[in-house]
Amino acid sequence: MMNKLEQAIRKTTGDGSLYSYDGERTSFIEEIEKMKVSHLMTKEELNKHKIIYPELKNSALVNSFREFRTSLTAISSRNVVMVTSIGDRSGVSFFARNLAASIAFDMAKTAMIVDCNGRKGCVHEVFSIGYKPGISDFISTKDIQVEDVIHESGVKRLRVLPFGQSGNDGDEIFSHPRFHSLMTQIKHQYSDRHIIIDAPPILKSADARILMDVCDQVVLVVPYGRDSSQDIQAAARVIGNKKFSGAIFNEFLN
Amino acid sequence: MITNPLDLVVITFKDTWKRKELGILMFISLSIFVLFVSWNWPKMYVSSSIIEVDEQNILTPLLEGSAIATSIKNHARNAEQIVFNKYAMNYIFDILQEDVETLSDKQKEDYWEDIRDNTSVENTGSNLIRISYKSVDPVRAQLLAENLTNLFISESVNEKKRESENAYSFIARQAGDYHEKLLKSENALKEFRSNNLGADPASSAVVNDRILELQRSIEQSGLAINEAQIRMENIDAQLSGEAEVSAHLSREGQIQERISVLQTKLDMLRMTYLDTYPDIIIIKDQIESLKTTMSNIGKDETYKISQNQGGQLNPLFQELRAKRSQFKTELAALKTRVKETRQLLGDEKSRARQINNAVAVYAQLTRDYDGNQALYRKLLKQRESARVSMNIDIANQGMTLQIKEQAIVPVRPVGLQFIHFAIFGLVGSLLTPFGLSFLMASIDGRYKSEQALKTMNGLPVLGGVSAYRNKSMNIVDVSWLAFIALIFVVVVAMYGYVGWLKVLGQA
Repeated sequence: MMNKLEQAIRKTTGDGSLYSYDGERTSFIEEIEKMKVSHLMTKEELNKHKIIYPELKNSALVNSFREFRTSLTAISSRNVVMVTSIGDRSGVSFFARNLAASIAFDMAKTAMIVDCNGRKGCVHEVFSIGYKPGISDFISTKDIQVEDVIHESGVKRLRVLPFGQSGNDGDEIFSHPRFHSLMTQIKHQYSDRHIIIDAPPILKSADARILMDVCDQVVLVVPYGRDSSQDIQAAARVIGNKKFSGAIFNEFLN
Repeated sequence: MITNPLDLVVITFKDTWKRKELGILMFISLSIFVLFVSWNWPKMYVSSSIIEVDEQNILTPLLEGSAIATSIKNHARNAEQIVFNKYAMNYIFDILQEDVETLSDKQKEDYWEDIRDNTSVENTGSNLIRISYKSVDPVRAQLLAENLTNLFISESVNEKKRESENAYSFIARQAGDYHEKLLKSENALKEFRSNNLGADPASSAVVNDRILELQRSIEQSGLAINEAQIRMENIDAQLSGEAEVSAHLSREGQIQERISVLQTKLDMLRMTYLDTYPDIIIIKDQIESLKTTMSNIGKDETYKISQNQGGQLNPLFQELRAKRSQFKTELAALKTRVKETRQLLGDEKSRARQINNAVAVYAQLTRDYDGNQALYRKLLKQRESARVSMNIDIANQGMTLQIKEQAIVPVRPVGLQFIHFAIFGLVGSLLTPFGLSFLMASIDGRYKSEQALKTMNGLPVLGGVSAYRNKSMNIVDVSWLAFIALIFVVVVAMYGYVGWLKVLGQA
């Protein structure tokens, strides 16, 4: 039984570091393995939605995300990472979902993507969630429980919290007390869970600055040929040294 | 923001790919524009002739020094002046009569301006001139090039003739002027000479000698006068000590004796001098006065008494008196001579002054004459040289203009050909999007590489993310590449087709 599990782990993670795991870690794995997975995305689907997986041909890309994962998850207490940018269409969602996917490579860790982009967010499309309740529904409707807004992603150990259908972008959702209680609950649902917030642009939106209250680290995505040094410095000032983990240069041209 | 040159190249390509739609549009529009221009580009034909200017012909060494070869230094400029002047205009208009006759004066001017613009005259070697005419019509190019060449040759020869004729007539005129001047100074010299005979440097020396001689004579006479005066004083002293009368010497006898002595002396003097000589006159006077005294003796009582008393005159006294009288005469003669000599000296001195003035005037006249003569001689020589030069030019031997290359009807057009347009159009429009990307990347302050981002002060950089390429993206990119290739092929085919049409048109 254990042999089969090991093989399965090796197959999905590909990092084969199983024997170094201690007893605590093994219990995490067992706990995590209980996570419900009704449907797993095929490689074609992952490719289509530009989600990395260990066997991806572009190993450089996979390795770069592994490195980001390593440096961003070094301190387990700082497990809420907000990904933001200076302008729209900077590749924040791409980076956020792949950072989450790379964290989920590790059998002892779970990741969750929180889509804070309002109605513009694409998380529900990428992970084929459809019109299911999300953050806005949780805040507007008291009947909805935390379990109702967390959805499967189709990737092992990766969960998705979409924005939801009700409410508008300007409804001060992220400063609502229920949003804070939601964040606290999901943070503590699993002991080694990493939450990646897919946030709107920091200089354009007040939401991103509000979201900084609930996050532990901030990553700034700088896309190819889009931002000037003044903008980057302004963004770095807004984020502040305490939470700013660093900038990511996104070479993807779109 | 670019940190190194290699990045710039990579970024140029990336940016061009990013803006490929704009790049394709640019390539299509530019290449089609160039194709359009090349289709409408007029074919220009140039016909030219080359003229050799030979100034070193056989006559030059033969006539070295005696004839001055007229030269045309800047041939092309000279040729330009000839082929662009009013005469040339009329000459060319005569040839192009059909084109010109319906034009107004203003139009004619423009027409001529157009011809001038299309004509080019240049030095192609030290003594080669190329005259070319550019036109869309090859026959017209040849016609004008040929006629402008002929015009240049005939006008050059005429101009040289005119030039040497002018030079000759100028020198001849100058020679005439100097001839007249020479005659004038010759006459002035002749006249002066005849008016001032003996007024030459030689006679000046003679006069000086004469002055010296006269001065010496005056000095000698002065000495003689002094001597005579001293003698007179001595005799006067002796006379005062002697008694006037001595015994038994009758006064009459004494006078008689004295007269005879004087007579003898007079006779002696007359043998040498004329009666006007002062000594003769004085002696004559003395004789006359003695004779008067003689005749008075008979009447004089006092004398009779003394004679009767038998007293005689003292002979020494008599002698001294005679001597005194002689010296007195000599003294008078000397003084007269000094006076006359002084007068002569005055005359000679004024004559010497006259001679000096005359010599100065003479020297000036001679100088004028010599100067004029030298210039006249030189001009005569130059006039002969000019005459020979003129004759050389009249005989067309001074400068030969030979057509080395006759203007022919050009077959191939000049200037930009279709192939140039094709290369420029295809390469240029292909490179333009890259060039623009390069320019923009050079001045763009935004970040286009991870390395550049890392250079920003105080910014922690976690790393870079490369593109996630999936199948659909690859399909899109490959489609784009295929589309670009297709467009390129279509454009090249269009160029090929137009080039083919051009070749057919030429054939």
